[in-house]
Amino acid sequence: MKLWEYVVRRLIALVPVIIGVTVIAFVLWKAIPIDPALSYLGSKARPEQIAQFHADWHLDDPLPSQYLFYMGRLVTGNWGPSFVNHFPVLDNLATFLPATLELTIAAMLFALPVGIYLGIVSAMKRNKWVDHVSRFIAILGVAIPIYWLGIMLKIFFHENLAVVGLNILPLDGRLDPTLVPPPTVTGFYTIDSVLALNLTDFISAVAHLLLPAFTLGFAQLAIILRMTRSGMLEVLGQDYIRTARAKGVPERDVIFRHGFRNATNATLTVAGLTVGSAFAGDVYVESIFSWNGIGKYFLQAALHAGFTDLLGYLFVVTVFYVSANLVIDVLYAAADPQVRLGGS
Amino acid sequence: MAVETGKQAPGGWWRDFLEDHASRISELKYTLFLFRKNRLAVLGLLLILLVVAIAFLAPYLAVQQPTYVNINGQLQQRWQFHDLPGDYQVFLGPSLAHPFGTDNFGTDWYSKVLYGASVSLEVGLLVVIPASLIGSLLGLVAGFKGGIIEEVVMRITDIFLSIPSLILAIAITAVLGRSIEHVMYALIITWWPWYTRLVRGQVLSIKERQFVESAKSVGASPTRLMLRHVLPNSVSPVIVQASMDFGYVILTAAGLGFLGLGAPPGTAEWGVMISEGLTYLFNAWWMSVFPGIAIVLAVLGFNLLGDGLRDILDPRLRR
Repeated sequence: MKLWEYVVRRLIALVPVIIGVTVIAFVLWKAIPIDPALSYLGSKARPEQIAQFHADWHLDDPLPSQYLFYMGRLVTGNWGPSFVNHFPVLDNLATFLPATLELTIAAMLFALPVGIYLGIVSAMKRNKWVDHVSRFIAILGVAIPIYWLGIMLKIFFHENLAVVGLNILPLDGRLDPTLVPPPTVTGFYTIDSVLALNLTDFISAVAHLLLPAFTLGFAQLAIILRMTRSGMLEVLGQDYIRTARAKGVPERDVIFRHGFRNATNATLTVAGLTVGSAFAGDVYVESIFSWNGIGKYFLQAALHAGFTDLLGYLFVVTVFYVSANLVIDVLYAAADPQVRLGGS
Repeated sequence: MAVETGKQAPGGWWRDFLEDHASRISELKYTLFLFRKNRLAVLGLLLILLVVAIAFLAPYLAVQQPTYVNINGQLQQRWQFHDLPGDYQVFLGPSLAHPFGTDNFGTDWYSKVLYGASVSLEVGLLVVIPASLIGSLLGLVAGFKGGIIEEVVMRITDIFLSIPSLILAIAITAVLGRSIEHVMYALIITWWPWYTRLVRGQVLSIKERQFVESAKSVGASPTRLMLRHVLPNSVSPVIVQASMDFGYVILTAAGLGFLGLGAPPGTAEWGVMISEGLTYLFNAWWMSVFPGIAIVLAVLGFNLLGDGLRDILDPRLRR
């Protein structure tokens, strides 16, 4: 099977999954015990307003036709008004998404290389001190709650605290409040400030990014490190590694060309899963570091039982998560000739 | 008192039992030997035992006791100020009288952290056991029956796994409302699919093995095949996964509490306590620090144990 056939086949297989997610979201919405009209209009709403809301949203129709109505709105991009701030949900998501993507990408840019590097070194120097330190990091990264790590960093970097009193990194927001944000092109403050040639903004944006990205990346780093290490240990024990060494291939090539190329399977798969846990971690990190992304928005929606916001967010995150895994599978299939594309 | 009947000596059933199961007993002894050799797994078990001991002994170890008051039909903890030894004060730093300091009401934080252990363990038990049972059962049936049943079960599993689990759990608790029971429902709903996928994979590989084939050829019924031959051989990965998940469930449940979607404020629940500390972070750092350490230790225990069990139960690494 050709690669493009594989991609098409996987894309078609995604359709039922996405539809299934919309069903789950729909069931959740119908399970909300409060009348959405009341939570949207407030308790002082007049009966005719409530009736109007019910009619607009087809709230009194039979369930299947309500679902079709909901799907119709989803497909046409009319995702309804937000319960958090009454703007259209789609606009809200578009406003908040770049901040989350900037944070998540920064976290992955830190977690992936460091995790892979430590994993490889740790496997090469098995049971030496580098290995012990790496394994300690791997264990801590899984056991330390991301929300607690963020709070600990805030304590360490706060000026008023006698504990450490480091006052070098900002703790809240995306940019110094005295600065004007760069004109929006990509929505990433770091990139936009470069495009606007605004050095002050750029430095401030990067400084604001460091602590949240580290917090978010630490757990992902630990998982990636763990999988890379065990994948490398398995591969390094194989015969062809011994053959490569015996015929005098430089150690560097043995590790990276013969070893890591074959150990990428585990690392890539786990990298796909970390995209999901990074989106989940965003909810914590954004609310701790006052980062105005979709994670914080989602939490606000959850606390206000805002169903339009919840449905929109669930849909967007699932699509991102599923496509990230698809991209990784395709990359993997393209990189490794051993993968049978025909299998399920 | 054993009754002498015929040739059987006193305690004969015991000897018979030992003889019948000699191979399994030596296997078990070998497993215990491997476990004792695995220092990290032993450390994990000790940490778990510590948390369990604290959960049971909290009323004796604590210096302050919660009283329970009925609010809107729900029993809620209220921490009395006046039964503190000496005069209480708010925002006291860690000291001998208050090892973990006090909060904005003058509650002794050390006592509250101790009480938190039982809440977390309870959530862990009541989520991991039902989730692993439901998930494993579905996986067993799907892998064993195949066909349309397998297709339907696995597609539903895929759908649930395509939403990051914390996010689905947040959405569910947001819908159901803030309470610790709702957190448990939410976590059961998000956790079972992992077991279905795991067990189905196991069953598919075990189904093809020779001993199952031979049992089938002798005429064992499908139910017997499933329960006597396939199930026991797919249990060990479930145990490993369940041990790991116990830690993750504690972590996630506390996280939901932290976000304001779990236990109500004032509860002796580690996540809620961390978020209460967040309000006074720069005046009373101890409020967030100590409940967090408790979470780390508990999660660490289950993780180390799960990791160790995986190495010990992995047939490729045995012998």
